[in-house]
Amino acid sequence: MAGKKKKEFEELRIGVFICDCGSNIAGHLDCKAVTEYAATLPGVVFAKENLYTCSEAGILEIQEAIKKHKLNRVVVASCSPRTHQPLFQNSCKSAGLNPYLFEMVNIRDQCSWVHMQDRENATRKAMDLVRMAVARAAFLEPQQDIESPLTPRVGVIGGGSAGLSAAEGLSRMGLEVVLVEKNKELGGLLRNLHKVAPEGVDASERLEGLIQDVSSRPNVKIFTGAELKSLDGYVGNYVMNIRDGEGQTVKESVGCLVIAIGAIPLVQKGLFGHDGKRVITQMELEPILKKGKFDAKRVVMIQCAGARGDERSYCSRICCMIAVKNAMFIKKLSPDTEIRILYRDMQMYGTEKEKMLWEARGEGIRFEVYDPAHPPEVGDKAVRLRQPLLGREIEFAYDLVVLSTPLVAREDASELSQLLRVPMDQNGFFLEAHAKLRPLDFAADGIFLAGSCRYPATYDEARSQGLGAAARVGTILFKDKLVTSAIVAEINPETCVGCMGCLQMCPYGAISYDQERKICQVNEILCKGCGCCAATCPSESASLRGFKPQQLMSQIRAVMEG
Amino acid sequence: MGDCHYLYGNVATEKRIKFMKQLLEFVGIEGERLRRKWVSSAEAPEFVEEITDFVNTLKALGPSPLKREQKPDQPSAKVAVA
Repeated sequence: MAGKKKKEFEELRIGVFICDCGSNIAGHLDCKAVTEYAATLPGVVFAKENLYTCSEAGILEIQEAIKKHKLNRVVVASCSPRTHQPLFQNSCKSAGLNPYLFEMVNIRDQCSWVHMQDRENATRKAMDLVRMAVARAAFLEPQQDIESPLTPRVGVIGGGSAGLSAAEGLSRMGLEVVLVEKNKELGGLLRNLHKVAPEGVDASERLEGLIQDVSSRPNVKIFTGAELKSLDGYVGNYVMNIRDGEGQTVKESVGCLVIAIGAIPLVQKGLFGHDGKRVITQMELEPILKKGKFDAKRVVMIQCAGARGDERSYCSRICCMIAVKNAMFIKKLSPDTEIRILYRDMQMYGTEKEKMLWEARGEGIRFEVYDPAHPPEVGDKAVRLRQPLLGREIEFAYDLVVLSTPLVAREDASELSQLLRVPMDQNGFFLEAHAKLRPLDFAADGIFLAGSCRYPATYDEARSQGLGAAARVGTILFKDKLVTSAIVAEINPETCVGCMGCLQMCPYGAISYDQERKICQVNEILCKGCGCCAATCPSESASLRGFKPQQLMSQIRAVMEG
Repeated sequence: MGDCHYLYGNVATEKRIKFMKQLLEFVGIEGERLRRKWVSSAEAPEFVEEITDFVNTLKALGPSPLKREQKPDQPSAKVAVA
């Protein structure tokens, strides 16, 4: 709670700006009538219609009106607060008005655009909406943005290609990095790979370069054989409790975290007769190829083995490329080996991989489609396949069967997800905040993700995601301090009885119980302003700033008055 | 469900609405006057249909049974500001 507020009575002076939005609003309702109506509302001392309130002229008009008419509340009736609220708030601020005394009402997306055929009713509705906004504005309170310090260090969990790339990027940006790897050695899956597609570079060459670069950096601290055991704090000020290689607990303060724990290639005994000798997975093939000796003369590869079925419905998306890459390499080692790839759909996305597929066909690698209803059967000597196009059964004798199995989520991923309070999808992969708009962010502030723990990724993808996550961290840690919206919950210590009803409800763990005072309190940085606590509190002690009962009820009363 | 911007906020809402309905009925207001439906921002027709239907339900129910006895307080135009 901030210091006791000095209460003064001041005359309410509301200014209302009605935007025409060119013809977007004015074309479908009578903005002039709405403006005239707004001027009659209680507390309104100034009302103005603008062609475009968001234009330079419109903004200037708001700022001049604040000064000239001593406005202490500003209401803009225009478009979506999502796009324009910050602009208007900032113009209020620069004219000396607290930005939280600004109220915006959407009479375009939610009025003129939806009621294009009904000018009269659209105008009435716009009046209703403006009346509601003015009523609410009367009860708005000035607020201060919340500021907190930032620790310019970053925790990276996972030392595979994604984690190493993130660490490299962060270190190059001048941020201190704490890298935590569960295994004794860095490198992750890349350690077992032979060649990296589509360029065909040696995986070990790539890896050694990366490991050397990261380990030689003075601002990177590496823990191997270590694990993140718990995490305290919040964005800008996390504390990682790490169990290091010797079993000791180490505390490391970091501002942000990058999660890059990777995934595991599925190895399932008995899957298509898997025995690890004559029937192996692509991942088991890699070390054989690495040795550079290959004697099998007839190879059959089966795509989507253990994927895209009932148990695992997802496509691992990189196994087609892996199969083609390995098939082409076998051809290089042993040109007279016959290779057949049995597939459902070839997933060779992007121009380079598409080109790879064409080259593979040119090298004589055969592609045979199969129907998931009739999967290939692996016998002792031959693979039986029902060709869906011809409807006939054929057999391919083999020396080696290679299964293209999916990458599956690590078992300890769920533990980490609980520890970090971040979501996973039904397959155990971490769920980003938004698939398109925030692909490397978790919904939790200050925690980012990269690589195959998010979804199966190639080396190139894991690397670019790692660097991407590093850039996302930069957007937070390259500021002097963390500034967050003041629209968060507060709990009145005078009336709270400490029933902990709100504590149970809070989806973000932002409420804690003060043992000494026997009341609940809000951590303003963790709070996202969802209002669950306010809706739960039986004594109205918990409330959401800007959405207090008085503020909401005034709006509801105003709409009823119409 | 479970698709809420605020994690499990809508699960809480579901419970709360159930409880509120019972409360309303307890004080003599029809439970049909409170309605809850999940509509995403991409489902405009569903939203319109739901609201139209709700308005029709409310019209059919007529004024609140408690309406006769109570007049709402008028909010005051002057308030305290810091």
